[in-house]
Amino acid sequence: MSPSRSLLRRRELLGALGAGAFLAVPVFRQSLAEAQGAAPKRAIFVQWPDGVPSACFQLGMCTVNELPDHKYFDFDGQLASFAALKADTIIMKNLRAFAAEKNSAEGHEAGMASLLTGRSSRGGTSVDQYIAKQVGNLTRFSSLQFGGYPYTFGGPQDRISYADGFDLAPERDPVAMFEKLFSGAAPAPGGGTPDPAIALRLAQKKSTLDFLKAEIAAVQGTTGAAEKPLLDLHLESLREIEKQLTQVAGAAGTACAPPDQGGAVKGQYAGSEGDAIDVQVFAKLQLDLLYQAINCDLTRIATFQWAPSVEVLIKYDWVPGFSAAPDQHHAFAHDHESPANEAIFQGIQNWFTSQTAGLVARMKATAEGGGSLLDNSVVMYASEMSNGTHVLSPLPVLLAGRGGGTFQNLGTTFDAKWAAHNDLLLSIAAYMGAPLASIGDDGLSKSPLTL
Amino acid sequence: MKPLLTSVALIVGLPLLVACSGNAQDSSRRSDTANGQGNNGQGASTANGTGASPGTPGSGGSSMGNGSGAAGTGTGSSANASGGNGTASGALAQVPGIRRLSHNEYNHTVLDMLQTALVTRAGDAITKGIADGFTQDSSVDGFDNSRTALGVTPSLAGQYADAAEKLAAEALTAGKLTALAPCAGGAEDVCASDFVRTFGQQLFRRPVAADELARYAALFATERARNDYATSIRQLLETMLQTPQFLYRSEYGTPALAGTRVLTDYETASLLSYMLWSSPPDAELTAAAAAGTLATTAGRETAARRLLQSARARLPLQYFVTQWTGTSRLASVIKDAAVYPMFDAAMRQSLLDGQEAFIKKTAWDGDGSIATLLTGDAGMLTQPWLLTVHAHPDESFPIARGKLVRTRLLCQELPVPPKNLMVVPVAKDPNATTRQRFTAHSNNPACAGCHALIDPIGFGFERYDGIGQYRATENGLPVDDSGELTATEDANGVFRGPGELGTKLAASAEVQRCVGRQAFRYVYGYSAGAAEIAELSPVLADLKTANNNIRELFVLFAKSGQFVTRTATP
Repeated sequence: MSPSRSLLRRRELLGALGAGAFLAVPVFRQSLAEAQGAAPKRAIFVQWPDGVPSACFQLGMCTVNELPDHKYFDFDGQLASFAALKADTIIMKNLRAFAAEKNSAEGHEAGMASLLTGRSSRGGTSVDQYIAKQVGNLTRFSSLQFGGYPYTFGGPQDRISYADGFDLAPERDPVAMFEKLFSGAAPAPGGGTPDPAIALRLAQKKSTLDFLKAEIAAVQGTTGAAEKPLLDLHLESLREIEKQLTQVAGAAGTACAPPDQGGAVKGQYAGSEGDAIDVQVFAKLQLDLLYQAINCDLTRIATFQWAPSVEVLIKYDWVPGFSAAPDQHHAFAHDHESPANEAIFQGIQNWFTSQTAGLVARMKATAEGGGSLLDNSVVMYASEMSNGTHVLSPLPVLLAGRGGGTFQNLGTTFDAKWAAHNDLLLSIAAYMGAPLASIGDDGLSKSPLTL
Repeated sequence: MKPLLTSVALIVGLPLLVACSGNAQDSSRRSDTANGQGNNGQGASTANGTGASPGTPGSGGSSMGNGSGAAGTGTGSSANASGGNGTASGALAQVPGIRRLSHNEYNHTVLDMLQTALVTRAGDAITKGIADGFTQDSSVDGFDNSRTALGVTPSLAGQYADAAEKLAAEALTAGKLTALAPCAGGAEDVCASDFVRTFGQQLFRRPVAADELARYAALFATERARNDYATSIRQLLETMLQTPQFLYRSEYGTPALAGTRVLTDYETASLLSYMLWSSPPDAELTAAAAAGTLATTAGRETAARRLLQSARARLPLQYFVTQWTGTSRLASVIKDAAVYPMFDAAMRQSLLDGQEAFIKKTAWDGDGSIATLLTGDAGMLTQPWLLTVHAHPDESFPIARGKLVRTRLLCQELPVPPKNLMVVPVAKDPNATTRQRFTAHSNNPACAGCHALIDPIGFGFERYDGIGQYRATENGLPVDDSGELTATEDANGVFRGPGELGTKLAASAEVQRCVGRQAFRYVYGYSAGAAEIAELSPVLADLKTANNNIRELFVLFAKSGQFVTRTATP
């Protein structure tokens, strides 16, 4: 049995970052498309677990048909960290988690399965992957999946991205992600003379990939319908790997340096292994890598999953009261009977939010064209459930980013009038230039919301 | 699975709390039955199935289970394969005929084929493997080998490429090249072809077809034009380690009677070998496949018994037991240091050792019977390694233990808590026992219906805390460990402690059937549907005759017609 791969390999991280063992890919933030005048668009989907604390629970006032008003989901409450960014955000109100409500699985699983798919059963294709199919070819990575959670989990409460029914696990190893992003035998852009050894290795890898694609096709030809989903996925994956080999970001633009190999990233990580892992440093590293991937235009589509919907392992010892209380996040998510526990739960949820706000602020501080990186992005900060007690609707969602100037409701609250959240997914797909007629269960999506 | 007490399922307000989703890592997808394949997303059902005919040996395309060699005998056996011993004859449902290696199987496979140092083992257990860092697969129904969920995602394709590069570089260092691909004075293209033929038979678990050899010859020529011989051979190996023929094991079969397909003998050899060794077939099993003996019930029985005699079968048997009992995640389970400060690395290791020793003693060295598992050495249900997993980080959590018995030992499906309704926790209380707290909680009429199925079982475990330590008192109060089993076919009644519970379950036909279904899940990589459960009846009847020995259960699977018969796909 393979042991858990949850243990952060600190020595390996330091080794990888310090040894210069890999070939840095020169990366450029601006793409060809941008050079031709169209600003690149990005969509980032950030999930946090178990929704919003709400006073109605303490008061026993929440009922099925009279759903919580999410008074705490505001700039005075859970979104306080976003207060300075208010002009770049839209708070979604009255958004219905219709697909999750229809799911016969329990609430946490149902919420995760539907968050980006709009489906009432597990599988299908999530909105990030629909978009990736349309515009992923513009960047080295069609999409990236990050985990902010350093432990193994697995299963339906731990996945939000799906491609044709196969779940895409979040990457939870900063070393591996760093290597994936910033190493590889890619040619220098801009016409420099490539290292002959690198060029040869690249040719070999391409030759292997061509061979493998032909083998998949040969197997396709001699097997049937039941094998096709597996082989289709495999073929798509090989194409993606091939693209990563040959395609660095656009041919023109501002050079974007990968994180300093011996400096910043390495210096931030002072964690240890196993139970003593420093979750705060881990999360900061992962968010930094996400930012770098977007900033360097290595991808335009990413998911960041803070934690599984049932989270019992992290010690949020920096949250006041947590270490003295005999419970874990999931228990607090369910517990709204004691104000003290409610406060601890709020503290944890606020931490997810503050870290996410840090990412958004960094995007805003990054100049692009005449504006900022954030201007040409949409960040969907969402939870899979309204509240950790299995209340699903309304889905708490904050949108950040100006959507390339197309959003009209920035700085305000948008009343979705109990539309299924599928409509919001349609809006983001449309913004990204990958419009969909529908997403998820039949009949749940009507039309994109005019944000 | 049949829903348990459907009327109860309608009751709202089921406060399973943290239990409503079970233990964290036990949150597997609920089913991957043939009808409910989670992975058939949009469009999957419209796939066209042209060209479903198998490759003709030596000529046609490289179908996964290319039948060069013994395919003919395999096909011919379809009618009589199901004849002997009254075993089941039905074909497996329409499920993918290719199964991606689980990460565990990948580790075993590359260790076996390449003797790589990138996989290390202590005794017969793998302690560290090159696949450990691969993108985590979803577990389904508690098992890591779902044939529908395990695919090659972009991340995994990249990891396979990296692993292949490392494995090939290691396998063909200067010293080893002469052993694997010698070419002293020979024509290099012939040497390369010999390498592909001999090594490919291992990697693909069947002879390499002529058309495949031709494709590899072309690849070699391309590489040799720009590299030396050694580098070109390495490139061949690196490539072979990423092919679908290596990464998936085939159960595609060849056309047989009445809409069925029957496995080739090489495919049968792989199924036997991965079932019992988690590894590819050895030379003797491969020879049996080549000789055509695996097409018969007797041939498969002989092969299965030989594999089971080997020490290499012990670990896979342990994989089955730990995945069936939901305890395979013991290595990563985390406890709250404030409540259980003694739970450290040494204690975890001692639990892992205890798990291995218990399964070895009862299932491997012992008579292997379900009764011995449930009653030997005080019984599995009293073991700290099992109780530690089926608990919460900070308490015993009786709901998890009741759920363990219902879902894993009785194969009963429990209703889920309703949505859009508050599910609130059982508050901690330093002046009450866990049982008292949970009893009060479940007295709520809205909760009582479902909890009546779960809590009376779980309460019987209460003399074992969250890390399986015995306790006669809790918070200064005596612990009541009386329990009751209800809503079972043949095991109802009161009991005291998990030892007595194990004794009650040990004789239950419902439990025996459930173990059969769990083994089906392990062997075939998906959960049996209604038709397949019906087909299991003769196997289970034979199992009873064999004293419910779970080792014998795998022999019975191997003997069944089901083992080699698949429903043909369009």
